[in-house]
Amino acid sequence: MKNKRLFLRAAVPIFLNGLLFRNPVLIRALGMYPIVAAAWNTKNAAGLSILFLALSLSSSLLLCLTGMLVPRWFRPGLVLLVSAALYVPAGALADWLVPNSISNLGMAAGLMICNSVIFSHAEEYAPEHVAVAVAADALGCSAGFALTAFLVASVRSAWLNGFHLPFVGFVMGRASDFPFAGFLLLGFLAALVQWMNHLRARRGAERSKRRMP
Amino acid sequence: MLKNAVPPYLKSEFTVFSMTRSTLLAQLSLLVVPILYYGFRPLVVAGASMLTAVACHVLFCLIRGKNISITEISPLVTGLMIALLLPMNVPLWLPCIATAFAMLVAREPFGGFGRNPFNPAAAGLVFVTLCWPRLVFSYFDPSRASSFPLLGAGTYSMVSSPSQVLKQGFKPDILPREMLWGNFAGPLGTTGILIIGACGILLFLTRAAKPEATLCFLGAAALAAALFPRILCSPLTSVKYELLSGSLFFCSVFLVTDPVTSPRTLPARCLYGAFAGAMTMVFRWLGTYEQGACFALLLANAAAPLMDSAVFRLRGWEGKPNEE
Amino acid sequence: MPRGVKLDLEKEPSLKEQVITIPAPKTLPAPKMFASLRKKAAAAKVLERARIAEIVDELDGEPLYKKLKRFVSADALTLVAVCFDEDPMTSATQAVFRENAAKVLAGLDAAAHACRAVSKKIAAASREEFRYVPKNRAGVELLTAGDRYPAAVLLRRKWMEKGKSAGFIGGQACAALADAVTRGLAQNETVVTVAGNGASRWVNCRVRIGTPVRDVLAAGKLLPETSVVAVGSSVNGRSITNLSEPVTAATRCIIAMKGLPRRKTLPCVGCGRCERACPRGIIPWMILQQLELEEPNPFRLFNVEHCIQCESCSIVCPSGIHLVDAVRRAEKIKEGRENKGC
Repeated sequence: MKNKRLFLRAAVPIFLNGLLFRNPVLIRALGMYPIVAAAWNTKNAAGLSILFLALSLSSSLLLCLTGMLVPRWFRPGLVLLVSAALYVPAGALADWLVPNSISNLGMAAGLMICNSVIFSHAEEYAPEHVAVAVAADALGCSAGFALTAFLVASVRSAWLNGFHLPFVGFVMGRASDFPFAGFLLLGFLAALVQWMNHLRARRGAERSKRRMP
Repeated sequence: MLKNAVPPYLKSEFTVFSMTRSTLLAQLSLLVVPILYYGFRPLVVAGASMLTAVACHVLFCLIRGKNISITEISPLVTGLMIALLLPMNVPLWLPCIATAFAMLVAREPFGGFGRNPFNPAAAGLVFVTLCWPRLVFSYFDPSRASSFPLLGAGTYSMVSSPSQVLKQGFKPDILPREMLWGNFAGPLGTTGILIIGACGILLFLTRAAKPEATLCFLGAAALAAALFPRILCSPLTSVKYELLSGSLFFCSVFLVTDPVTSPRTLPARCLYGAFAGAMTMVFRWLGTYEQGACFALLLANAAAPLMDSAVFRLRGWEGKPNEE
Repeated sequence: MPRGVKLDLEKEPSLKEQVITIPAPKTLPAPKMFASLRKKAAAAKVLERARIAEIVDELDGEPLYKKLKRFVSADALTLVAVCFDEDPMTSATQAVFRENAAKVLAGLDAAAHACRAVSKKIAAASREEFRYVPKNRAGVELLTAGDRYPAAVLLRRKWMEKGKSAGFIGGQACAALADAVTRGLAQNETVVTVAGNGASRWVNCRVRIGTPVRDVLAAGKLLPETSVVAVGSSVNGRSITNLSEPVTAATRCIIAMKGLPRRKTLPCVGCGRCERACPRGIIPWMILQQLELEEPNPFRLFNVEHCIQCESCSIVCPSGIHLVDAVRRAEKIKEGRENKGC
C-alpha cells in the first residue's frame, strides 16, 4: 500500500512536467505541426487532442510492456508499427466523440502516427520506466498538448470570426488559419511558460539559499 | 575635487543617432511630392504610424524599466517605412496595426533596438499583407480626379498597379521611362524612383548605409528578370519594368541596408543582397501577391548569421593576419 | 583599408612655446654621473652605459638596454627613432626633436652601433620636421607618422607587412643615451606635455623623474572646473586622483579635463567600424557576440591577446560601447581556457 502511494506521489511531478513546465509543444518544440496547421478552431483541437491521448497512452503502455523484449535497433520500427495499428481505433474513437473531426483534420490526423512527441516518448522513455511513470508521462504530454491546442485554437478562431473579447478585439480574417498565426501564438505562449519556469527557478534558488546560508 | 574616469576620453561624431537621423530625413523627403499633389493626407498616415511606433516603444521601456530617451528615433524610422510601403488611400488603422506588430512582435521581444534578427518594417508589412491583402494592394488612380480628406475615406477610382499587371502576365500601360517620375499607382513612398535613388546615393556618401547589399540586390533581381521575364518582351524591358515596379527599389535602398539585420562581413553582405534579390523575383513569379520584396527580405534576414559564419569558416577561423 | 581612427591633432598650442623646465623638488637625490665614453666605444660598452644610466624608453616603458640587447640578435635590422607622439594632444617627443635634433641623431647613432643595426631612420610627425634636422646630417632618412591614431602601432604594422625587421625606440630615449655616452649623465629628466581643456596653458615641461604630478600641472595653470586628470594619453590614459604621484620616464603627458562627454550605450548595430579601426586585427563585434553566449567559443575570440588598449574601437563605435572592456574580458576567458588545458 505504501509503495503504491509513493508511486502515485512520484507520478504527480511527471504529470505536471508534461502538462506545463516541460510542455512538449511549447518548451521542447516537438509536435508543432498539427497545432500550427490544423488547430484553428476548437473542434479540430478536440479531435487532435483525443487522437493524441489515445495514441500516446496506448503506444507508450504497449512499448513499456514489450520494449525491452526487442533489440534496440528495432524499437523505432516497433513504435511506428504500434502507432499505425492503433491509429484506426483511435480515429474511430475521435470520430465517435467529436463527429467529423477526422475528415476535417485532413492530413494532420494521419500524420499523428509519426508525431514526434508520441514517437520519442514511446521509443526512449516508455521501455525503460515503470508503468505508472509511463502512464503519468503519457497523460501529462497529452494534457499539455491538449492545453496548447485549445488555447491556440480558441485565440485563432476568435481572430477568424471577430469575437470582441477585450484583448483579441479585431478580425484577422482568413489569415488566422495560416500557419504563421499559429507560430506567432506558440512563440508568445512559450515565452509565458518560460517566464513561469524562470520564476519557479528563482523561487527555488532563494529557498535553497535560505536553507544553506 | 578630482574623480576617476574610464577611458576613452574622446568620442566620434558618428553615432547611432546621426545614422538614424540621415535615414529618417531621406525617407521624409519621399513624402514631399505626394503632399504637394494630394494634400496632407500622406503626412497624417505617416504621423499615425510613427505615433504608434513611439507609443509601443514607450510602453516597452516602461515594462522593462528603462529610461525613455528622446534620442531614440529608430521607432520613428520603422513607423515611417511602414507608412511608405502602404498605399495612401489605406484606412488609418492599417498602418497602425502594422507598426504595432512590427514593434511588439518583431522588435521588442527580441531585445529592442540592435537585437532584432528580422527587419521590423518588413515584418509589419508582411503581417498586414497576409491579413488584409485586398486593402494593402488597392491603389488609387493618380491620373483621375481624387480627393483625400485628412481623416476618413477619400473619393478616388481604383486601378491596378504595374506590378499587378505584370503578375497577370501583361505589359503595363506606362513606359518605363515614365515610371521614373513616380506618377503611377503604387505604395506611397516606392513610386518616386528618382528621389529614392538620390536618397540612396546620399546615404552611401555619408556612410550611413553600405552600398554592397543594395548593388547585389539590384543586380540579382535584374539578372533574374532578364533571364526569366514574366511578360513577352525583350530582356532589357523586363529588367526595367521589374526594377521600377512595386517596392523592390525602395526595399533595396532602405530595408536591405539596415545594419542590424544584415550580415557584418563584406562578402556575406553581397551574398545576402543577391539572395534577397533572387528570392524577390521567385516570390514575384510563384507567390500569391503581386509584391514579394518584404517576404524575401525576411527570408534573407533568417539566413544572415549563417552567411557570416560561412565567411569566417572560409577565412580559416583565424581572421585576418596578426603581428608579432 | 586604412586602420586606426582619424583624430583631430591639437599639438600646435603646446609646440608654440619652448620647452620650460620645472625645478626639481628638494627631496629628490642629485643625478648620478659617470665618465664619458670615447667616440668609438665598443658596442658592448654602449649597452653597459645604457644599463647603468637606467635609461627607460618612453615608447613602451621598457629599459633601453634590454631592448637593444634584443635587437642585437635580429639580423638586417633597421633602427627607427620615433620622434612623434601618438596622442593627439601630446607633443613632448616632437618638441625634444625640434629643440635638439642633433642630440637625438647622436643617440640614434649610438643605439644603432650598440645593436649592430644596418640602417637608421627617424620617424617624425610630418615632412615639416625635416627642417629641424641640422644641415650636416641631411642624409638621414625620414619616415612620416601618418595622420591616423595610433600612429606608432600602424607604422610598426606597415613595416611588419613589408617583411623587414625593424626596431623602434623613442626619441627621448635616444637623447638620454646621447647624454649618457657623451656627458656621462644618467637619465634623470623627461619632457612631459601638459594639455587638456582643463589647462589654460598647454606647454611642454622638462621635469626631473620623480617630480610629483602636482608640480607639473601647476605649469599648465589649471582651471577650477578641472575634474579629471589623466596620465599617459588624452585618449586612453590612466586617470588619477592622487596628485603626489611621481612622474616616470615613460610619462608622455598629463591631461586635465573639465568633464567627459556623456556616452549613452546602445546595443551593437553591426556597422563593422571597430573591425576596421583595430590596428591589431581584433574583431570586437564578434567578441561582443561571443561574450553574450553562455559558452563563448575561444576560437572565435581572434587575437584578443594582442590588444594594446588603444581605444580606437571604442572611439569609432556609434553605439558608444566600451569595447576594450569586452576584449579584456575575452582575454581572461581565453587565458582561462588555455590554463584549463582545453
